[in-house]
Amino acid sequence: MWDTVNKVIDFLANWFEVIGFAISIITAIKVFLIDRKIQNLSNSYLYHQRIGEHLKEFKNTSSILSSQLGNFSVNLKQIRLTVAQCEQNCRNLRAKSKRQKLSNLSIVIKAAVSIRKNRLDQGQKGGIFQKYKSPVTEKQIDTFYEKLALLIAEIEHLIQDNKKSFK
Amino acid sequence: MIYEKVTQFVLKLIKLTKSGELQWTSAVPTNRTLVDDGFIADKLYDSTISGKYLRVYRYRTKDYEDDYNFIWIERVSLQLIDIAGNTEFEYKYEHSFNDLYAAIREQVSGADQFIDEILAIPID
Repeated sequence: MWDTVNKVIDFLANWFEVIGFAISIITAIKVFLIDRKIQNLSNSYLYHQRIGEHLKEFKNTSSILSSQLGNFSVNLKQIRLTVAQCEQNCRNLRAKSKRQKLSNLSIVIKAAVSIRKNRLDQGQKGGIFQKYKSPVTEKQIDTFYEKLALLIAEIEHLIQDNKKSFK
Repeated sequence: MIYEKVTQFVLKLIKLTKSGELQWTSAVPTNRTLVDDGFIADKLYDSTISGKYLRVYRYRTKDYEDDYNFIWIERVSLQLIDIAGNTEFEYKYEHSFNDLYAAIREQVSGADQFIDEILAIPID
């Protein structure tokens, strides 16, 4: 009699152990997934909080550039500096926006890099490779300004959308 | 209308304004009220180019976050107007309008020349 009872209890205990183990494995997987989701949500929230600051900087760059473009040849050095600062801002934003793709971000970076790699003017002296580079043209800066305007519009649109979705 | 084309157009206006080839005049609006409780926040700036009349002004308008909540936002409007000042076409807003507005105000106010004049005054 006691033998049978012991066997039944042993059998049930083994099964409960297996079920308990399975439940803890499932819970661990769920916690891992939920934790990842929370992390992504938190990153996304922080990103949307900070993107406003980047937008301010882009707007500031746009107004500085438009002012400097009034006299391209005189302000070329400052223009290149403004473009370089904007490129840095773009790269910072790109590092934060791994999941949220801004299609115009890479375009602006590409335009900035091409300006940075070009020479200041035809008469500039430099290293052996310097003479093979083309000089920075006004058209390049104009294009950069246009791409920046597109990026600003894209970010403004994204912020507008997020305002609605975070409500 | 292609977005980039409008930006190119605005950039051209900025350059022409900066070089003084495009002259702007300012006027105080007789009626500041706009649709949806918006209002003109400052002066109106008019100019003529290629037989067309341009008007630029800054305005404040309500930006609705949902059906009830809104915040006030500031925008710049760029329009083609007729000789009587009626709007014929309003370009869709983009940020470069703000840069144009700043260039126009700098020209009309003569802020830069004013600085030059003051800096030219000798100090005994």
